[in-house]
Amino acid sequence: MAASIVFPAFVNEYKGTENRINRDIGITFTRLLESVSGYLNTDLTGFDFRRNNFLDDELKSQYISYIFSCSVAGFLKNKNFSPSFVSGYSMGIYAALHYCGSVDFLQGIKMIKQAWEILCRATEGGRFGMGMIIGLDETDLGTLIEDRKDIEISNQNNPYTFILSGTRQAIEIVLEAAREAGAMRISLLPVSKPYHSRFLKRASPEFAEAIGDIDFMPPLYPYISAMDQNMITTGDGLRKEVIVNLSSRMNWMKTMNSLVSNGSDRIFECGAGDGLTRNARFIEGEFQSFSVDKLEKFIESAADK
Amino acid sequence: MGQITANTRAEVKEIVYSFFSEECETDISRIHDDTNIISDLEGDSLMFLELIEIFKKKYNLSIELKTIAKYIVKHPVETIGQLIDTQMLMIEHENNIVNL
Repeated sequence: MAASIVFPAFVNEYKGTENRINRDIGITFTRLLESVSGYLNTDLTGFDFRRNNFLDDELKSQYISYIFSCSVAGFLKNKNFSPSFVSGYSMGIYAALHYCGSVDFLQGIKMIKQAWEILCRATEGGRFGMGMIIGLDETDLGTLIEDRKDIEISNQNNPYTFILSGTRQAIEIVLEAAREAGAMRISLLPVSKPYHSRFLKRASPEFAEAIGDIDFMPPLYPYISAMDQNMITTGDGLRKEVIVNLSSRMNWMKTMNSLVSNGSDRIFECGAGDGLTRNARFIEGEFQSFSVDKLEKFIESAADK
Repeated sequence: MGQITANTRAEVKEIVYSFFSEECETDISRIHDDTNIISDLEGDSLMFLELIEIFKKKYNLSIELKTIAKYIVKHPVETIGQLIDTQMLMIEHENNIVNL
């Protein structure tokens, strides 16, 4: 049996206790904040988990999420923990690639910055967004959006939860229609880019060029694509993955199914929050899921095997 | 329709209490009918969905999520007691819950 590590997307809300989960992780996080601040010439050192004070700045939030995920991942590496598989949820791919040894820490930061700048240009002049619908099936959802060219399904988290990307107006209209149709919950996600959708297709070639100088190393651990669930074991494969990741539909439910069917009986969410762990309750199969709050339990479970 | 017996409510209550105790890592003695699911237990809508699935399987219910959601829009569920009441109505009325 095996343990897998999954990396969450950019986190939008912190519990406030993240820097107290583990002393070593807290120290690493602070050190990396300082390092990235110097590298980017942007002060990130004032970030406070309790105040969530960068929430109004999408790019800074992305940096913070990446840095925290890498801090936790570094702790696992220091414990000589070796997973069977790795995957990244949406933009969690950057921390996943670093953990796999494919890119170094600052190359991950550089990719986040470049992707953001390219996406800003690609969406200039438009208002875009993403939304989440819980409680409708794909057929119902398809009916709601079938005649619209300004919105599409960009991800499925579990049998009941779908993510939509598109223009902000279309997202708002479809969310409201979903509520009328009987959705259990709808929410507008706090992002301004329509990730994982065709609306960002023109950003991919530019991003490919921007990261052309990065030498992607073969991953230390097999990487499961969140797009097509293929197992990636080459540096070139990961380069292609990070490029298409911006504008291709993902399917997290199938990704989790793939991890479980490949023998993962423990899955650790390597980052702040517990969204992927909560979502795991709706994934079929015999496995345990651990959020960062349960880091010690996860380490103990790894030692038991 | 699900079979309602004298024990059904006690059974539903036990399942709901045990579920939230485990999911929210809270001692079951701290859960009461007037416990607020969101503010007291930090519960979420996915937990509610999971519970619905548990009851659908246990009582072999034919009920769609969107039907339940439409009912809940009109009858919001905030406490454990309200959740138990809603689960009882689900078992008793299945998809007809929306007409209540």
